[in-house]
Amino acid sequence: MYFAALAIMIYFLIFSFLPMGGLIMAFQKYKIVKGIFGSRFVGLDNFKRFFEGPYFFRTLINTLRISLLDLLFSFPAPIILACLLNELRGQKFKKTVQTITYMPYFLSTVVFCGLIRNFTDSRGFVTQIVNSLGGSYESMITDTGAFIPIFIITNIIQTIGFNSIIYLAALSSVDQELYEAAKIDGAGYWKQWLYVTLPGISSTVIIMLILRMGQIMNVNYEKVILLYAPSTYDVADVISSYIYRAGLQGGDYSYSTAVGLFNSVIGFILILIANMISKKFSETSLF
Amino acid sequence: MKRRVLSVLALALTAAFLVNGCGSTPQDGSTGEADTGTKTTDGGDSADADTGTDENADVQADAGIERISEEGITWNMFKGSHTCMGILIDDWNETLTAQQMEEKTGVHIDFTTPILGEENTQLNLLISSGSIPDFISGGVGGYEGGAVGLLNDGISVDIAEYLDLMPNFKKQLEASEFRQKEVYTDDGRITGLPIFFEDDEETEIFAGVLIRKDLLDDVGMDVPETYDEWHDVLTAFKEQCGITKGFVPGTTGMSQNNMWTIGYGFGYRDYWGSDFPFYQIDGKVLYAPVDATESFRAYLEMMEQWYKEGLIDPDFQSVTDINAQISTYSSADCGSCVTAYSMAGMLASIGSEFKEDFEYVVAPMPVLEKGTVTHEYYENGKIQLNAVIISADCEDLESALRYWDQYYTREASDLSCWGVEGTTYEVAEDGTKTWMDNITNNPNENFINMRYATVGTGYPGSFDVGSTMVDEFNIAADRLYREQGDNQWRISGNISLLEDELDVYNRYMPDINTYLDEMTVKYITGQESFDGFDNFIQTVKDMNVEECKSAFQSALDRYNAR
Repeated sequence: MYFAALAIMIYFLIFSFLPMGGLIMAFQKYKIVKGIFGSRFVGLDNFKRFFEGPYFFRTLINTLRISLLDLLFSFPAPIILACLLNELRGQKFKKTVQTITYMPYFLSTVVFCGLIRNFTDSRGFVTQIVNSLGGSYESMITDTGAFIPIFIITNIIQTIGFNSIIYLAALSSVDQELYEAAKIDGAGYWKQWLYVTLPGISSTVIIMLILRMGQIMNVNYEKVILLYAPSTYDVADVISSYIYRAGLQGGDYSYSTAVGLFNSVIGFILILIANMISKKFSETSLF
Repeated sequence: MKRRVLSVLALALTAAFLVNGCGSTPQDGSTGEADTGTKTTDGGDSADADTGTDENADVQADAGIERISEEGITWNMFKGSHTCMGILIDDWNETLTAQQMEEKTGVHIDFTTPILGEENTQLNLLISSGSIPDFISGGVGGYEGGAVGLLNDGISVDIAEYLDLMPNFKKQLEASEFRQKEVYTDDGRITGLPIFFEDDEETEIFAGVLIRKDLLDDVGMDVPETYDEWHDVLTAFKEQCGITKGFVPGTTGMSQNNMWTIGYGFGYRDYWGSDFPFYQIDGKVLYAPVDATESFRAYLEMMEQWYKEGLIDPDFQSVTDINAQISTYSSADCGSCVTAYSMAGMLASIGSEFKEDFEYVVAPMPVLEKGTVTHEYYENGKIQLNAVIISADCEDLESALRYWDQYYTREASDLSCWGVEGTTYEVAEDGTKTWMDNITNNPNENFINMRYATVGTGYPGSFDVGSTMVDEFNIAADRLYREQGDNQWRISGNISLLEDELDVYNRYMPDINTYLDEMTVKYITGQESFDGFDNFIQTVKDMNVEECKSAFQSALDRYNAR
């Protein structure tokens, strides 16, 4: 058994811990040919450059705004879906709904975003529907006001089915006798949900929430990069997309490592806070 | 500046891809040098170039290709891909040049060919993993400092030190002052082997403004010349033909060409979107938003007006990559674009599915008043640097230098430019060469693909400009722009920034570019009011644009002093 654990530990050592050495780059002026050991050490220069740069506050605020709004709307969505599915008695219908809601998850992000762009450009059917309902968009995807709603709604569409699986599993483990007892006590559907179902899955929900908090700074940056345009940078340019432009497109490895490290530190702090809060209120925590 | 190299390179790649149908043959690979997306020439040097003519005559009388090794040598080479790769050939060794050179010199080259468009990343990976190929052709643009960076870091050899081993190259190099000025770096080094053009002739203009001929016929108007005429034509397109994408000012990559080319007529060189944003007048580096503020503003105001009137594609921000460009420019409701001429045929053949007579013609650069001289066009350079860079780790360096020197013999240059007489080209009685039908008139493949797949591409040497000018469309367009103006405002792509200059540029310019991309779009779409224009310009100044300019200024001064 320890042997099996060894394999996992080696995996983490090689793929998670060793690459951390690369973080040294954030404090250097990294040059490929000199490598990590030969590059010049510049201290906090890269960080200073980011903090003093014109895009620090904008990217930070955008990251938090998109993440929090996303959390607010797309986190509860699969829970609601799972509870609704749980109430369904017709197996066939239930399976069909499940399959349909899973499907977008298996589309590649690039394809999915391509569809979004098509549907929301000046002739996309979504734009036309919205406009016929009183909107006046030239092209929704390049509109500052429409970007975040599009981003979050499509996030929900993409992940709702897949994320509901874990809650469905949790729901199936809720003791059926509790429901019967509640019924005898005269609880309706709503009361049953509130007093039996919800407490039954609450620990799963909290763990998922804490895990989710850790990713808050990552947003869903592939999607941001695929969907944003210069006119929506104002609301859409997040730290990760900024890193992408600096590091991958510009080859400024040190700078993008520094910004990435900053991003992770904030993410880590958020996990700690979420963990602390949940420990205080519900006894459930990661550590 | 390297931060934008990728996009610059993408631009260059696309340019090359469109023009030469080529992704990163060394010709464009030379782009890496000082990240010049565009091979630039300094028009003022044509006089120098002419002095070289006589000497060229005896260069041509050189000996043929020498055998380098009796028992055979094998080297490996990183060589950029091309659109013909994987379709017509699978390995550069299938081309005539590679085969004939191997036969004659006894040298075999193993090619490593990256995926088209991945050259920079692949080369960086090879370098950082320590397995540096003996010869590098393409992809250096992703390396910090480009070809000069490679030399500074001791990865490549300084060819200037070995000129004595390379008599043929030396002869070509010393044939004109212009060549020496372009090939030597500021401190007298040579980063790689260039491609010369005979007599330093001007090479082709490969791209320009295209407008839909069929629509012009439908509305009964002529090709527009001034902005007012453009406005009328686009309005007619919209009202009579229902065109919704009259003009498509792209915001990233190659499609930005639309945006800045159409601005030339206002008397400044547009800021080039996010790429190489400066231009020069009389040796002074300028940046449109701060140095030509009024013209820049006038242009944006016109664009806003056009946008309001529906003359501009409302989805113009989605035209980000080559696929989006092709599908936009070839759609029935697109009125105009700025792109390589070699695309025109392809666009028309896709477009003809929507509208039978779909056709693009070349329009002059739009200007404020008829007869205005413009100072910019899309020309390939008179010299393409760094066709081959030789690694410092190369075994038997002396033989390697001698091997590459062979390419500058007349025999080898003819081979790598034209191929084999009787197979790919014919020589007329007066000595002029012409391509044979199997290259120019292949029903399934365009000329560029056929040429590169059969003959090979990107080898150093001294080429014949006549080999590129085959298409009637190109020749006519070339004439049009040369009559309209010159190419004086371009900063030579062969300037090189020192490390601290590069640092300054990289530190400030990418953020400025982002800001400008963003604001330009906002002004065009009316999201931003022109009342705040002065603040916008002030912000650009506050973002240290002057420091970036002066980094370029010192590099340009050193270049001019060469």
